[in-house]
Amino acid sequence: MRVLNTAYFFMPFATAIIITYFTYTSLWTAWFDFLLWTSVTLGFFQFLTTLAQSKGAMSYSLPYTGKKLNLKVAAFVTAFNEDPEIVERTLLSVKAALGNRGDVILLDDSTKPEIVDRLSEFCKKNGIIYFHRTDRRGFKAGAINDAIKAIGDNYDLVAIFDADQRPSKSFFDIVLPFFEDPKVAFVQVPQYYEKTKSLIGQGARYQQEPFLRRIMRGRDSRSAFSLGSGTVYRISVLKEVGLLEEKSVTEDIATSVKIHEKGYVSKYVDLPLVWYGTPPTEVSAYITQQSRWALGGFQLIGTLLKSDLSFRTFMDYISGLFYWLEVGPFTLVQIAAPITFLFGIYFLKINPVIYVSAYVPYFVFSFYYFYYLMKGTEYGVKGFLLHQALEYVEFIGVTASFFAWVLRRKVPFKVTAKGRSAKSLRPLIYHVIILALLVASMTRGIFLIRGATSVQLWSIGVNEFWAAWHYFFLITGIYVSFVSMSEEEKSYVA
Amino acid sequence: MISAEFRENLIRAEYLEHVALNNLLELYRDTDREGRDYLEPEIFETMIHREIMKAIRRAWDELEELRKMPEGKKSFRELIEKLKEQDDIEKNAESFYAKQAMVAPTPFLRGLFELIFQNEKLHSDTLNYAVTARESLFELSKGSSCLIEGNPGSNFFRILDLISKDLKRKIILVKTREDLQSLSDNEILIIPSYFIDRDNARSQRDAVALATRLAVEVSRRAESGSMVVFYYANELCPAREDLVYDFWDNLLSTLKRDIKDVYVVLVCATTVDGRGCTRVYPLVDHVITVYDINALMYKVRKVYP
Repeated sequence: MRVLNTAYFFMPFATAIIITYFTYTSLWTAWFDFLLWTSVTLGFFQFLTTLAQSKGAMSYSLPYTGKKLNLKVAAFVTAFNEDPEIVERTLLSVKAALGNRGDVILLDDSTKPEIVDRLSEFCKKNGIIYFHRTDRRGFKAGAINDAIKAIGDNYDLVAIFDADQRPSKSFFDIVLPFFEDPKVAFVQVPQYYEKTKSLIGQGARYQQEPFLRRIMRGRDSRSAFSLGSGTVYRISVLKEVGLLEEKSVTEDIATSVKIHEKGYVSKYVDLPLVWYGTPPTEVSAYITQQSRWALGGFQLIGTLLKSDLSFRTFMDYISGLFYWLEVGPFTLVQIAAPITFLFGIYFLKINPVIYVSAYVPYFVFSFYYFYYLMKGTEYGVKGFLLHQALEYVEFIGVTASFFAWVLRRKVPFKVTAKGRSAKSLRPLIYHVIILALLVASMTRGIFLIRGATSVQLWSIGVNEFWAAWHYFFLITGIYVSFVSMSEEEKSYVA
Repeated sequence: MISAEFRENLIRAEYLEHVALNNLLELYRDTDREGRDYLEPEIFETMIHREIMKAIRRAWDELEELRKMPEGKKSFRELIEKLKEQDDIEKNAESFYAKQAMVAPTPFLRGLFELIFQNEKLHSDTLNYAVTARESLFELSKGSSCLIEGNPGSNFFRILDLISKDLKRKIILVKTREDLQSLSDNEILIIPSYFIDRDNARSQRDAVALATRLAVEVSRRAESGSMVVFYYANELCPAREDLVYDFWDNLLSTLKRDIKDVYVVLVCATTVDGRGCTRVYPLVDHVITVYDINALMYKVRKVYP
């Protein structure tokens, strides 16, 4: 299986090499030609995976019945210098949902003494077990692993909740019966972001829609991966795979790979059972979050290629990686392409009419298919615009994560901001520069129209289109980031 | 069986009464005649409250102890005959409490005696009706489905236990809530995801789809010849009254098609305004109406022609 998986991983790149061979203009620019085609083939292979997943996604449903299981649950709430009031509310929600099925345990890595004192006192009063570490070895994954070792064999399952994510009363009623099947290693419940006035927050919410409503549903009972919070693991399986992966910044996905590799399956329960996760509401927090997720995705490459996952499971995982490559470094390539061309560096040799005839039907069909897939969700046109705009906002951060991974640079771990962070538009400096370049190249393209042959007109048209496309989403992204900075646009609970 | 939560509440109530009584006694010690006249009835009634709380708990404990005794050989019918012989004692007690309910010195005591009188009367009625009620259950063996309906919280399990013994069938209990009492080793729990689809059922098509899927899932876990009990059935059907018939019609027919020789029991708690599962009547063979909370008085009616 490993050979097939590896072959599949390299297929977009190999396809791009073949197309490059027929379209490069000189050896000096062939590398750029290759990168541009790779950005297309990566998108195509992602689309193939979406097609494969769509049947499961569209027919997704949850069972109506289950067997009452007397499984004992250790419900972990992880915290690190969070606002104690938020943590307390979460603890009470978890306790109410858990009932007499087990114990609630707060894993507090806070370094501020006032927070430690308040939370330990709160736990004492409310019958919650309090774990505190003074070192942050392995960060969140380390805290969970240490706690699992400490609780011994007293529990069957472990549920993990972030400090700001409160389960509903019926969380365990719904989740626990899935463990009747011994092959189920963990159950994942999606986080529902709270509604915000901030457009960044709204975009982050919409961005989750295709992922949570379609991709994860399509991966249900096969390769749905842990999202870090709202996950209930079978402890015996976690122990079998050596507990949570501590070396990755997205320990949840890395651990999921190890579990799926062993032949276990995971259940995705797409119901609003976890409430009020706060999305990042301003640009720097958003980019930090996405860059961290992307870095986690890139860090997975080695694990995935070495793994012995089944082909379908591998396809699902690798599609996630292709997504991050597409959103990060290859967005940069796609933006650079029309700029380069309109400034007179002709790196690609292809009849623009053939390009348009081949690419437009694919473009239209993939759009239509995406529309068909998203029917019945909250997504809509606004969702699409905000989603795309945010991808243009995050691409430099994701690209930076890619190079950090390539160069093995250590990136300081940052907790996803919970609605409060230092507001700054500094991350958008590069976007503004790119925007200026796009405007310049489009202007130059207009001047080139005069005296151009009909074939040249087609190629100018294609490049003007892409430059305008990138310009539109970049400027929308900048606008969204800008308006999300105003004080009135604070997050609120709907 | 007394639940741990109720026991805890009784102990808490007893403690509260005890504290209240101590405070009152403290005041009684220090106050003058007029104050004492005021406090005496309050002290007296608080003492009774405390003792009642204690008595409930003790009675339950004693009953638990009694249950540990090995069973005797006397049949239910013989027992009823024996009890009837003692019925005079019950009748005497009944008339005593009825009289006290009129003449007792305080409203509180009159109310208390009235309650005990009503309870004694119920004992007497139950005794007279017990054999008839028990025999009426044998009727069920002539059909393949029944509906048990009564007030919420009634001891439906008692009747289910009797039916399963009569029909000699293994119970598969489909529970709508996890916290309901257990009756069988084979229990199926309705996962709350079901209720989300139930609430979204707007049309006949939705109701049929919902019922069919539920029946298929239940069938998958049931053996042939078993007795499938839906507890509480009224929580399963869509809220819209006009969809109830279609829902149950499909559920029952799918179950009968998928499970060989199945007996289906629907347990239905009537609503506050007395409405039950009347729309299901044409779909079942018998309806058992439970008249008391302990499920000692009940009536079997044949509803299917």
